[in-house]
Amino acid sequence: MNYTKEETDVIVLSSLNELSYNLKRALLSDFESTAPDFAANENLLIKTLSRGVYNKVKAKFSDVNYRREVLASLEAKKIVCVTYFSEYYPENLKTIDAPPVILYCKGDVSLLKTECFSIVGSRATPAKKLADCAEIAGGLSKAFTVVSGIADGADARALQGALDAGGKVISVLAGGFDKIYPAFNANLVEKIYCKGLVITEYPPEVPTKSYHFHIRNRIIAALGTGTLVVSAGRKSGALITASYAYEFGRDLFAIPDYPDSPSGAGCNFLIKKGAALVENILDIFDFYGLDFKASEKKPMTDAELSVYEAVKQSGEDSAARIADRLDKPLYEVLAVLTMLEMKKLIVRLGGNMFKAV
Amino acid sequence: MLSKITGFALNGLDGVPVEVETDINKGMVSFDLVGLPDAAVKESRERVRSAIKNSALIFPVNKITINLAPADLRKEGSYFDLPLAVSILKASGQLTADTDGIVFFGELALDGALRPVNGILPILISAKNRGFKRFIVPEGNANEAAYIEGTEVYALKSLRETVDFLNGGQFEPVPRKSFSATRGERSYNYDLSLVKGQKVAKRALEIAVAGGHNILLSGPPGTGKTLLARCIPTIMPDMTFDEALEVTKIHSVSGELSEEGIVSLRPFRTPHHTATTVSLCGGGAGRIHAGEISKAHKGVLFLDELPEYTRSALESLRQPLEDKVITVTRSGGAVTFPADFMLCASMNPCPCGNYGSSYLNCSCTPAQIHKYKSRVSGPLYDRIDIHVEVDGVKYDDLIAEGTAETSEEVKARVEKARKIQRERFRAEGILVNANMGEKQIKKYCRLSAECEEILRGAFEALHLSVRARSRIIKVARTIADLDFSENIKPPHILEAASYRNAEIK
Repeated sequence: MNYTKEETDVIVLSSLNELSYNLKRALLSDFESTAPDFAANENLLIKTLSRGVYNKVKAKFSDVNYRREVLASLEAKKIVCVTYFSEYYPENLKTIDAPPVILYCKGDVSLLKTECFSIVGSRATPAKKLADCAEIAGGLSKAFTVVSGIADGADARALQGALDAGGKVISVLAGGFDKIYPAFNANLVEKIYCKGLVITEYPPEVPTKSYHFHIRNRIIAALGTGTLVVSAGRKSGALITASYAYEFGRDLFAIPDYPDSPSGAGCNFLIKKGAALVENILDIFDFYGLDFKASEKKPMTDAELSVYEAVKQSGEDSAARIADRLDKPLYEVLAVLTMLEMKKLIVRLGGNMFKAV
Repeated sequence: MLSKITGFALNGLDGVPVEVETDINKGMVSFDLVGLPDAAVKESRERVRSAIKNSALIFPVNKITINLAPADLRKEGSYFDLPLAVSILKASGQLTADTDGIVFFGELALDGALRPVNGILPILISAKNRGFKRFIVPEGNANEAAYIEGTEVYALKSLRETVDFLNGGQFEPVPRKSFSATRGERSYNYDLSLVKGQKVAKRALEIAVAGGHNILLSGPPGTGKTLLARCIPTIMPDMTFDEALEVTKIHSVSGELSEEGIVSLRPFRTPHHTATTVSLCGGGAGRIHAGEISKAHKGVLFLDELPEYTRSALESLRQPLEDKVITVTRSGGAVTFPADFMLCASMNPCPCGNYGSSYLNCSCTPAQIHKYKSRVSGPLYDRIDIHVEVDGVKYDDLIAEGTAETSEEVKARVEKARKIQRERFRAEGILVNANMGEKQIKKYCRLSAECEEILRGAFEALHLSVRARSRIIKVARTIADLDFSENIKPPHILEAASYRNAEIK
């Protein structure tokens, strides 16, 4: 990857972990000039860093070997940097108060220029809502690039749902690439490297810290034209993302829940405050005046059709009850249900319950 | 004078003959017992002394030396009271009758009565194989001794009776009992028809038993997982006499034999999750004891709340699940116990139990759930072919009338499927589909192009792990057997793929 002189300056500046975000930003004079202006900010830097550190940082910045090292290590890790001055830098991010100086990217960088839609939710999302989340993400991915975090629960399921539907996704991390959190989602991250894009504003060696999530959420909110909150407690990270989306003037959507639901009270709160209520994918497509083309129905045999209709009719139902209703042996119905699941026409909830997509 | 009497000691599940040699000499009054007796055997001296005196016989006031040969084998337990007493009586000249070829066991009470001992059946079988025919056992062990062909067993009440018997008194040997008659009298306390709803789980149980697959039931608390598990023995084929003898041996040695003297129903063992590795697999200082997995031999080992067991206890199950036997090695030697059991495990979907429930809220974080599930290792999950979710039961289901199938009906189907498997594997040395190795899977589970296609699709669409492949094929083979189908067909593969827990990878 070849970077221009300006881009390299920003990359090297960003790699200087001694500097806080605010200092890096100050050095870039609010993005007006591309070359970090150490001289103009000398007083501020010395005040915050002490003279010794300031001198060290300044020397490091212009050290040719150090600059080469930074670029080589990023190259080795297959990380591409998109700086504020790069052509790929998303317009949506430029309009917010504190745009990231740099985005470390792994995957298909061109996705940054596509129209995005963000989906967020809590980690403790009930199975039924997770199924809804995957389904909506799959539908949205036909018109948008789906943006989310990487936490277990709604985030991971949204990404998975969009990927399963053959869509594009962007996952925004809250730490560097070296150590992905949560570790058990590393498989999903690997998949997204190939079929989507993973971005973060943190240099690779920076570990995920709890306060990063709050900061990271502004990127998720800013990237999307709209943000859908799948599930959120009354106090949750998803609500923080929602408040960012509101602040940035993005469209806000929420899936309702019953009162007092620990994982849905936040959604209801958002709806009361004016967020659009979403029950299914059509609600979002209608909002944007888009025409939702259901994916072409895969051909079904008669047996599959009858079971599918039975599931659809009752919303969600258990295998045993479907078998009873159709007066078919249970083992036949189980086989058909698996087939329908493979064809992605139904989803399996917990406790042998099935739901039509 | 010198006398020799035959007794038996237990080594694992084998009886080893022990010569009880008594020598009575003039000299300072003493009573010495040599030949590696343990504490219980040493205490015999006091019981034997009182029992002889209280049976209106005379305990010799001389120097008594008793040797238990072979001297290098550690002797345990209270089997030796009776042979010791008889040996002393013989050496002191109070008993002149011929005792050759008679094997004695029994614990003595202080008044001379004979108390039952553990492990009679395995000793009897070993002794019979070594050519011994006549046995004297405590009356309390009569039932246990009644099933062995070709033996003449006398169940006596006391030391006095033993002396009378040896002196030519008329006693009837224990009448022979037929196993089938005993089995006919006994029945399980559970029946599948008692389980309301849960049709998917019931079907999964049927497949599991038919193919000898291990099964994992997962579901919220209070949905009947334990009741379902309790029904497993009721749909397993009846035990044959040989199987019953094997099981009885283990239970006899462990002292867990019921009044009737033989285990005629398949065992159902439920070790608590605080169980240690040793209590599961067997071991112990001194004589090596059988563990829960051996006590579940030919039956069901039910591990309720699987992730709550200690990791080491669970990992120790891996080898016996493959080999069907466990060899317990201690400093004193190694003993092999049979451990051919069906594993049935149950677990909640998460620590609080409500994950996945449509009407209860789960309070666990994903990290907690992940940690909870990963307490059970992948290799152990791999040995459990069928993972089935148990439905949350609604009140309406509980009170619904409607006829559920009885265990008897399901058992009939299971027996048919087992017969097909026995014939198929005649040359392979295995009995059920679950025991197939990769080679046998290749040979007996040939998949048509269509099935292969479906299996591939299932892996991609349902995010299955690669390791699930042979599990699914084995289960599909059993489903095909239940369906009397020679080849595995697409519906069999699809149904097999539905018995997996999507959350566990």
